[in-house]
Amino acid sequence: MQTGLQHRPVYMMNTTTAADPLLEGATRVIRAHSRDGLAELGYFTVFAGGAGIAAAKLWWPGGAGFAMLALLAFSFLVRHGTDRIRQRIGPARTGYVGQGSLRPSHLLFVAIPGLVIGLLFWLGFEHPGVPLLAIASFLGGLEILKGSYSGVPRMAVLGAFAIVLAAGLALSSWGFLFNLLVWSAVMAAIYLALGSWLLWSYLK
Amino acid sequence: MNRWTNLQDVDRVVHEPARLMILGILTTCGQADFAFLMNETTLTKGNLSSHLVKLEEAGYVSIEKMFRGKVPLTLARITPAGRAALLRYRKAMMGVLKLETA
Repeated sequence: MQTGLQHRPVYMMNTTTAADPLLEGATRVIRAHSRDGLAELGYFTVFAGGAGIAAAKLWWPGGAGFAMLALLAFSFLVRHGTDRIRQRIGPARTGYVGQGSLRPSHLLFVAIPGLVIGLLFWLGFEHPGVPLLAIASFLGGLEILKGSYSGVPRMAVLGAFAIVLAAGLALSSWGFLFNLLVWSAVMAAIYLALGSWLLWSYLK
Repeated sequence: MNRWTNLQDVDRVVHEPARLMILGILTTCGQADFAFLMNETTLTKGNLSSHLVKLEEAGYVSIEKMFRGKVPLTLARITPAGRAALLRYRKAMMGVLKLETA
């Protein structure tokens, strides 16, 4: 069976309407990764850890700082864990697709603000925490929203939700720890529900 | 330079539509198995296999065959040369299109 994509390079030369092979490839990989729900379950673990740290800091400040660094390390390692699981469950179903290298945009939008917040939090600077958290949530929301252009509509909802949450955080008069607890717990609950449903649908 | 002269310089290994699709996918994900590439490109087993061999011969892809339990698994990985070739091809084609629309 011939697909439209197979004709596009020829079409491209005749009409100057270009199909970017990189964009087409990225779209297919994002769609493949969105089928099994493992990314959502990974985010759930990170947000649940964040909520746990916020709660722990109230009773064990030193331990919470250590746990936050461990969580940051885990948020990088979760990609490898997800990849190992995909190697096991993928081949018998829709095929295995690799994780790819960490893109600079991910670092810029998610990891760097997260690292700065973690460091400030760990050092005891809690006052800039809420605005930074709101900025990180907003940028994270934009990054997720971008994924909806790849044909995964639920990313538009998740991204929009993260941006609304960012606005709520910015306007909130709650303390930093309570904000972090609520923000992380809500995001963790959403990702757990979504990830579980997607994984169940994929495996059955 | 004439745009047709530019077209003569494009990498013909990459220019073939099926191989362009394979490289486009592998550039994003790094590695994928045979089943996924077959689903996404809608090529037949024999066709995909022959294109992968050509890409491997050009040094753009490395193929690893293994067993996952009792199931055979063929993994295709893009090499740095393959990634560079696709980016070079993309740049060349964009240059041709820009010249035509100018």
